[in-house]
Amino acid sequence: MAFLEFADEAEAAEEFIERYSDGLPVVLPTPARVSKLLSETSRDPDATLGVMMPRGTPVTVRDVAVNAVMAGAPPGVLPIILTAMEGVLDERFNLSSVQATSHGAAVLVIVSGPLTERVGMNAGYNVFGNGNRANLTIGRTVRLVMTNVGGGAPGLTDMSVQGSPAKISFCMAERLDVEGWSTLAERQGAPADATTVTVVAAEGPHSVADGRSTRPERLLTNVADGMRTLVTMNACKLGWMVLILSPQHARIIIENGWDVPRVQAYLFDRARNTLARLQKAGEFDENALARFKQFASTSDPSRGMPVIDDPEKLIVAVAGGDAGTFSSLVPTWPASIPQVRVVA
Amino acid sequence: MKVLVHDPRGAFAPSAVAVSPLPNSIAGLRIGVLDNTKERADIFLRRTAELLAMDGASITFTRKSSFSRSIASDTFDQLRICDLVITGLGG
Repeated sequence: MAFLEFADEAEAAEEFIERYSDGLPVVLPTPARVSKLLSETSRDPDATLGVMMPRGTPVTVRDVAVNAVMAGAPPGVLPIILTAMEGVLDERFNLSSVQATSHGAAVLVIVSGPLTERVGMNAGYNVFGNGNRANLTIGRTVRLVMTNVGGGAPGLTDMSVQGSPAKISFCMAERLDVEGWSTLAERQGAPADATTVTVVAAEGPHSVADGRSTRPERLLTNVADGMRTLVTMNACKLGWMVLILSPQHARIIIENGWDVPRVQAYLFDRARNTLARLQKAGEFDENALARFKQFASTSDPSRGMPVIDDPEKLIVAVAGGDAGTFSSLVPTWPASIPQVRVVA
Repeated sequence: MKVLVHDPRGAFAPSAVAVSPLPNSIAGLRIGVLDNTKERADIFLRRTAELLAMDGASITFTRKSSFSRSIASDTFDQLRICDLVITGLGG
């Protein structure tokens, strides 16, 4: 357990903004504040959650709590943050690459289950935006641990060309009150009343505007058009993608008797690029050609290559305000495999 | 009044690492080249290796499986015995 000593609080506050923050002020992690937050978990504060690259530093429960205090985390969210950190530290998430890449990959944290309501997370209006302390501080803590403990320093080890506002904080809760809809946690096989955390190395959300569709086919054809854009990494490298449906768009799907597997299958089938179109992509190369040939060997090549490896690699959830016809697509960083954990 | 706070870097314990002295000549040196697989990196690095070989260096050319993956341990073992290693950054 290491400490830093300062002449007074003002000096400490300045030093923390300059050296240990995301550019915004942070709450000073005094021993009293950190101990209070740690009392929310039964985990051993010295337990290691994993080793974080690029610095190769072990991340302890206490380290996460220290950064959560700095982020301004409210009571109750630490278990969610610790669960997110476990996912991020899984080797399959490939954090070393996520930290270093010149792409703008952020870490999207999707929380699904009843704990979201108990800790005051927002799944409604402005779900990806400002206005909710729990959402913002969960995402902010993940990033602060990545920079302070992991050593992901912009321009030194984090070589993202332009970054993304999602790299400050990118966390959302799923709506649990959508009748006729199975939640992400249920589809992930979580026990009843459990809450899951899904972490995805992802771009920021891309809006899908559709105020005219009344049928799933038309709505999802528009979604497919968004998915198959050539300018994301998914176009040539496939992998995973996230679709966050607005409640109003979800109702079009539910009221017409569709379920999530049907949505996934429909989009897998239609969000495709022919070889002629794919060759115009800025990331097209011999590897993309090989992937195209692989898909063409099992299906009609004139129908093109999908932007995800298989239908289940489209992560679908519902979030946002009741009224409004804007959903979101979240393309991903394909070298990373999303991780799912049940909150302990 | 003095303020004591937790170090947010965890068990971070920086230690000074000395920079190796630059060689006066590359003749006779073992030079490792790591192709990071970024677009056209191999063209640039192979030409660099050719020029260095003409100056008397022995070249070990290696390649990562992908720029988005860490270096394989056997590739690292090939490079760790070299006097100098050249690779690319970004792309």
